[in-house]
Amino acid sequence: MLISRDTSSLVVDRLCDQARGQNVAITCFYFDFAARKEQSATSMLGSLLKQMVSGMERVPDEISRAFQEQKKAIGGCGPQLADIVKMLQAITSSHPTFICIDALDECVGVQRFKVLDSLNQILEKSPGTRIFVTGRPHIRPEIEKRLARRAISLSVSPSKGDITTYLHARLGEDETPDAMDESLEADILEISENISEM
Amino acid sequence: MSQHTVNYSNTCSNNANSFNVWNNCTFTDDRSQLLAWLSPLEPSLRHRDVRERRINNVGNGSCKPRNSEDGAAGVGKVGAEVIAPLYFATGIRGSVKHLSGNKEYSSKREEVSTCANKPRYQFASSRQAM
Repeated sequence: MLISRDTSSLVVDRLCDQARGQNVAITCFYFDFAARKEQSATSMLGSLLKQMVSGMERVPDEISRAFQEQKKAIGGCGPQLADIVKMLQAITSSHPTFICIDALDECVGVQRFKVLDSLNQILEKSPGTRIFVTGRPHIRPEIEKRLARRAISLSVSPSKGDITTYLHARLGEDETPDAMDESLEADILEISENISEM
Repeated sequence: MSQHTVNYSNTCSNNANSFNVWNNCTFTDDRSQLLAWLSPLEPSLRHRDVRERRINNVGNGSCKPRNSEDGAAGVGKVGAEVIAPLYFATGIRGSVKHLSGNKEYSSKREEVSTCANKPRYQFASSRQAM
């Protein structure tokens, strides 16, 4: 969590800082294994589209039309993945866009394939789009396979100082301080230092 | 998909609400319904939660990649900087395995987690090791 979530949110915030004053769309999504049922490829990509549309003064006509059309169906129905991808392609091809996705490995396999294929389709139509993804190493082959020639892998890891600072801060927030003594705290910090040196 | 005005800079200019555009603007009911129709998920809220839990000055170095493991065809270069459409950031290969296989860590975690009246400190989950 220290690296993935925090790094992703730092990347998003830095992009936002740098995009200030420019017409650049920055969207993000945090996968969570505990919410895997709700986080389908359709709802995930739909949420990216929602963030983009939220930043627009006027909703694109195509999206408005699709929304009005679905109202005619009994009970309405959500947009299909293919439609969402088309809408994303249309927006990202006309505006610089950054998409940040955290913990892609926590997305269920089948849905993850759909997400990667959809991202590939978006990049095909809008090569100016930039995507930042974090995840455990085991999904790297999938990314290479489905986004061949488009992806570059980066290794990131916390520094020793980061881990120590993080643990000090979290231990300082302990709501049951009686359960912690100096010896246990020292042990935790010592072990974390050993781990960070690996 | 024509004639729409984008003002993303407003969306991102205030970092405290970078993605919380729902709170920054007043939408008509129809617009709100349309946005909810696109997706019921609200990653902006998750982003805000993560940001609030972030520890100051932690992780800044992680934003600087140590090395890129792959070159990729179709990846361009601007000066010495490599530009790719997609960046995949992951942990040092094998670090998760090292962590879970660390006997000292395992025994200490066991000691902490089995202590009857003490909270369970998961001070080194696999995700932390990423």
